[in-house]
Amino acid sequence: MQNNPLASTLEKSSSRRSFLGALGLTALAIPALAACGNSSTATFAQPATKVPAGFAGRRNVVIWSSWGGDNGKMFADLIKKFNESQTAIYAEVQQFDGYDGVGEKLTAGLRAKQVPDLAVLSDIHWNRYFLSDALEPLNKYHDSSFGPSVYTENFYKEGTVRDESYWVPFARSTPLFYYNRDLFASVGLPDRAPGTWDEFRSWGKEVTGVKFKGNTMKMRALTGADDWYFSGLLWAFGGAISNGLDVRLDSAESLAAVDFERQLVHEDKSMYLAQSFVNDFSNGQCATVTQSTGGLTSVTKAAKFEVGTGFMPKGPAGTGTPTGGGGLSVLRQISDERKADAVEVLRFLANDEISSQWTVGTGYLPVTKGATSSKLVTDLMDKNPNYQVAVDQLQIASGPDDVRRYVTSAISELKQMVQKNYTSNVKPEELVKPVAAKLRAEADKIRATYEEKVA
Amino acid sequence: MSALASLTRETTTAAGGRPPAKRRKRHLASYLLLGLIALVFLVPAYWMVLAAIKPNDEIYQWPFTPWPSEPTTENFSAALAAAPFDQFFMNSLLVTTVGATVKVALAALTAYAFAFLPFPGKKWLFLGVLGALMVPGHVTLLLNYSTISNLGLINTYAGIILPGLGSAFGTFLLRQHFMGLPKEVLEAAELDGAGHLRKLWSFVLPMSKPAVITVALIAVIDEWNDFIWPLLVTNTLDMRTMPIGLMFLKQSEGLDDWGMIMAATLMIVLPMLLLFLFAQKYIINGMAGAAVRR
Amino acid sequence: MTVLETERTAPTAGATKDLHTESPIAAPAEPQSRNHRKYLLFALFAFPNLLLIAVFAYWPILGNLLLSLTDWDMISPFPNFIGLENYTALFTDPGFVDVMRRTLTWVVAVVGASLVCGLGMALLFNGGARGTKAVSTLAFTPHVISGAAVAAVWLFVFDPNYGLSRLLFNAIGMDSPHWTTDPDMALSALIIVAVWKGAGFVAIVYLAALQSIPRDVIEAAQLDGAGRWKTFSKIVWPLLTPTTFFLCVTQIIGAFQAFDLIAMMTSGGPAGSTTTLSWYIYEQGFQEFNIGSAAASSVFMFIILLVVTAVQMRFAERKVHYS
Repeated sequence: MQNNPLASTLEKSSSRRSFLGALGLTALAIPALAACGNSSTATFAQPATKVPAGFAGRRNVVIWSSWGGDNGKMFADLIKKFNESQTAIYAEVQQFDGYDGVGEKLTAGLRAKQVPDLAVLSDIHWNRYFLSDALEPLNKYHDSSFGPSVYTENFYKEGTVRDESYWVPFARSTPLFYYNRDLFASVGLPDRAPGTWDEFRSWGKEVTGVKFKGNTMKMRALTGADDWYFSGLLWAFGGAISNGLDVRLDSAESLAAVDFERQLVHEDKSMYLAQSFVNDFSNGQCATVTQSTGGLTSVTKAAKFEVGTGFMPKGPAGTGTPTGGGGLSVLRQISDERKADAVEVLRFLANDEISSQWTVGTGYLPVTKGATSSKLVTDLMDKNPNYQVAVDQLQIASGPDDVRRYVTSAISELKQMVQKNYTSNVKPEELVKPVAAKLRAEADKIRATYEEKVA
Repeated sequence: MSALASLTRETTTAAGGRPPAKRRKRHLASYLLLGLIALVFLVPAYWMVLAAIKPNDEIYQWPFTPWPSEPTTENFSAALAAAPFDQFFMNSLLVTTVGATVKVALAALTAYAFAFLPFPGKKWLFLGVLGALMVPGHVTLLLNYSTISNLGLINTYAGIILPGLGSAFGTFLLRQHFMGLPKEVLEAAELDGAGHLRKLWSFVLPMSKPAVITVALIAVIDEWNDFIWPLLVTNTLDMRTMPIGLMFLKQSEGLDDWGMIMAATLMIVLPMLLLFLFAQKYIINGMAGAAVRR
Repeated sequence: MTVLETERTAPTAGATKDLHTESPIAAPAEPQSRNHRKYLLFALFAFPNLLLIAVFAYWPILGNLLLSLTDWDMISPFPNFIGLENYTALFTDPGFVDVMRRTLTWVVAVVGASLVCGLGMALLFNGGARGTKAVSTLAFTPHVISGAAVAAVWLFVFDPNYGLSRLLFNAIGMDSPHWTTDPDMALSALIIVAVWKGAGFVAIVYLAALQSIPRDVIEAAQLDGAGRWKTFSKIVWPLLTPTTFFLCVTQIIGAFQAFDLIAMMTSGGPAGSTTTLSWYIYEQGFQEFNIGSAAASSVFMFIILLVVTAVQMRFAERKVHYS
């Protein structure tokens, strides 16, 4: 039931399309007949824009973005620069509630035939729009200032399927281990991130319960809104969410990882689910968090203490660091002119200077070759070693498991599972088995499409 | 309406005949209870206002200070800078005024038609109106989203307003009221040659003022506070209404700036609070009255 | 606008017709033509509203029924007919059974507590001590305020680190519970807020009902030597029954559809601990785009509330027969 709905319905729709039509439902419940069959050639409307006086008369590009707060302001600044560099195009950023928010409104927008030109999609969201043919293949727009020659190779490759590019890297990141250096010093811990999860655990026992600046400390605040860090932990223990579409969530190694977190929360009581984990960290309520490199700049700014960072701790099976973050895709069901304009925005954002400004302003990793070696970025790394940590860690990071990418319900199922683990002391088998079974069933439903388009 | 008019009347207790000492003790107890209830409702409000005018670092300071060292408006400007609350306000204002006005007009016209005009199968049509009272709004979301999509009205004011315009409750309430009006006045108007629209405007509506005001106020409050529908049907920031804007602020800025969020909350609450203060008699009597009468 | 214009021209059209129909044969036809004019006027007055009601209240019920038999993602051009699969999937999914159990807890707790608190306040207000009016108005206020705003305030009150909750719990030497991030607490937190928002309304409705009880009835009971509790349980409470019943039904309908508090405070979490049926419908329909499943859940909600209303109507009818 919760299969990837975008993919499966496309296959089987034709045989039963008369059913609802016969019931007269076509008029109101489903899109007008004009769109049937050839959705790739139909052009969808652009959401309304509010163009400032100075930019009137230009063609508009609408970008649906996931960033609020500091990163949102940074992104708006870059787009402002784009508009000033242009004479024909005005780009407008429309902001949503995170990657999930963009995803929800984009699906609803495809339904309403009103879509943006560019969308910020996370590394585990774009795939489903690819499967439902909603993303424009980008190879035909490539030239010397936009394409594989420009982007960091690994990041570029992650956005391609069978050598065709659909998703351009932009705000890529890895999770980073953040710690409160002042607190570590006062407890007598070394000034570094723990090397292994075991070390993390024993440090956690020392930190937890300590009174520090009026607050009773815990080792780590957890977020229930993200299964990203968790997927890294699985790898560190030798487990995984899946191998291809084969679910491995209930393997012995994966269960060990789940049990490790369970013990820290419920036995050591050194970790807890927070209302706002980053907020608790920067206000000195807890000693450490794992959070995206993309939060580096804003966390450093908000914290009233020295922030230290390090690699994610290792597990019995070695490192487990997932890449994450977002990239940009051009929507397919829009006019060719809008597509070309959207590519202009991508080209601008891939510019060395702009790309490095974004990296410096946010903490996201440099995604172009030029930005990586730019003076702006190298200077920053010299000045603040935390940024260097983020870039170095990339060498050992890898992209998400396929079930997380392609099975639509995987994100919410995994989040729920993680939250449950953080909040109720349940045997790992009991916790994981039903989720694994569900994901297995869902994965099987999209296997045919997946084999046809991806594998 | 008479039972409701008594709401504002000071009543004496049924225990009027008790000895004075016992009565005083009971009075003391009821004052204590009244005070307690007042606190339950006032303290969260105080907590909100306090954070809204506290400098940010004082909010996160422990122990708490019961009053800001120096009241500030910085939270309000921070909220305005983080999200276009002026735009949200205009959107809410537009959606509320247009939505409520049209809704009341439609309800009045329909109620008039049902009260005074003939139509084949009128009884069944009215049953249809009553039946709509039993349709829970939450159940209609999916299909209304679909309908508004097909009309091409996603992310437009019309899209926000349209599904709420049809008024079953208002029609029902006004029709009941119209039916109770003295027939002689309307007949006299008819003899004067007044058309139906004039009869409605110059006689029926003025004579039904309390009922119309009640329906209008309920419509205004509903429109202003509506949450899930504007959430679904708007996409872009500049189309959000106040409550959705507040949620947006909470999501985009995280929970790390309570001062700003409370300032924004205060901005949403104030218009309805003022309306309530000025029209509380109508609102309380109307809402409670609509309830008791059934 | 069009309504006004047509109305303005209508009398003239009628007048000219009258001039032309002076012959005795046409006379009997006249009332009918006048009736037709009135029919037209009825249509002009009522049909816009009726059309809106049909499209935005009745069509969704039918449409839900149809969509609940399909598997649709909102994007693909045509839904697939899959029969009752959505329903069987719902009722065999232990997750959905949990949602229903939670919804029931939520509704019973919110409605029960609102009624008890509301009645208590109404009895107090009915005592008429000085300041009653101000306090009752105060208690009613949350009812007219945006749920999103109320939720935001309480989210802050509940904040275990910076909220009022820390202040209160520290005062008695405890740490504040993690109201909205602890799955054992989150639903209770929401219930507290919902009751805070709704009890004042219940109180005012009860107060109106209390004040419509003729005073001599109560005085007569007291003359018979009935104590306060006896007067209440034997006289007042039975007389309040229709009000209680009405309040039960409206509050149940409201509680089933509660959304803004949940959306602002917990988004159905943590670990699904505040996912009630109304949030579930939203999540399935507008976050995961399992339209068929969302439609089936909507149909289910509709049926439950229809039954609740039907029971009330049956009761109200019986009441009429007795009196």
